[in-house]
Amino acid sequence: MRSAEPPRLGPEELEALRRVSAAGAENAGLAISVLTGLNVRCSEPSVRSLQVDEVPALLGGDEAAVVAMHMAVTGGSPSDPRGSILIALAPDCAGRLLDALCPGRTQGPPPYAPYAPYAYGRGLAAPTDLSEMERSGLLETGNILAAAYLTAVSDKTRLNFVPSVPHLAVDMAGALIDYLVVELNEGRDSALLIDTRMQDASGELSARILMLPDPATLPDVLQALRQRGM
Amino acid sequence: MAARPGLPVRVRMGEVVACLGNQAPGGLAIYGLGSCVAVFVYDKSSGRVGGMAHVLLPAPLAGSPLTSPGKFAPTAVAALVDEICQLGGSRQALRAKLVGGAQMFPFTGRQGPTLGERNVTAVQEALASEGIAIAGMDVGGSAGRSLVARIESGMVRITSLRQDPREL
Repeated sequence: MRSAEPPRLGPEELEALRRVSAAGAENAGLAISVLTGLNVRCSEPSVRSLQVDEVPALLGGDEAAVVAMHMAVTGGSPSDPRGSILIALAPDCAGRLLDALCPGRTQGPPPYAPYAPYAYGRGLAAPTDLSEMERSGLLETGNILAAAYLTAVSDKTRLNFVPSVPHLAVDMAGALIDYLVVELNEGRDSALLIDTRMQDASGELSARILMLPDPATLPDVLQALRQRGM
Repeated sequence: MAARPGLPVRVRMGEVVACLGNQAPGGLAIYGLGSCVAVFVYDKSSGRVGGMAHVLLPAPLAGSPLTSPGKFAPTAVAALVDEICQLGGSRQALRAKLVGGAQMFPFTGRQGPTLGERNVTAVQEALASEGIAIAGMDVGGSAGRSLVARIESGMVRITSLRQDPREL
């Protein structure tokens, strides 16, 4: 039977999730550093339960413009859901990421000039306004980050964690989060999330990796961790 | 419900807020609405009373306890209409406006209608069963929305990141 709240986790379970996620975060940091040539570090992940409507505040607030790459995570088939990964950047950071990924990328006409697409307010580009190269640069980054993160998690748990193809959206944080959290948590009041910040040495490129475990299959993951003495 | 003078009263996820117009002089607001649906109901004849629900899901899931009726379309609409009538709203004069129900990511791995579409349909059905006419809708698409609704005039102002503000 479903409950109104996610499964209650004890301190050891939270710690086990944190340790597994830390391995994922370290791997993701390495992958993005190699990809961009920047020295990107990931923070220690924090594992916590938040009220569903508190989640957008992590990304700057309900109306903050966010560039987000989303991937569903399964154990290998859609009938075996494990959760969601959302990689979120402020628009100016997405611009910097693209500058690092595609040096000398073509700068479009004025409304879509280098940073204009990522400016706040009405100048913000839709994913369809981005060039093919920019769009695939962002999606590929999402892909690589999620794969690096989940490979480490799979190694630790000996369970499969497979990301779907990534999807890109540029919109208000509240709107991006409401669907993910509501659909995944099926109307529960709070959501468990594993939150990792990434930042480069200059502090100019920062991003957030949010892993939202599926409450229905989280007990299997915890069981696997227990069996592995974590 | 605590409104600072002039500022809109925020209606959070799963909340149902009904009040007299003079209790929300800045209107009722939801910021950053994605697949959720804002249901604004107002008394067209008096302009004195109205309210808003911030619906998350089309229906409660089987086996799930009904912790907060405001989350689900049928129970949220029923609660909203009840509260408005208790505050003196006249059922025949109630009108509804719907905003939201977008699909934020292009593909969700699920067949059939999106969560946003299912939310909109469920709210329309709930309003029909309460006998309340829909006076305006700004629903669907793939963009997030913010809105402020005015009880006295029944006007709803909608903003998105990439579109001009518009009124319903």
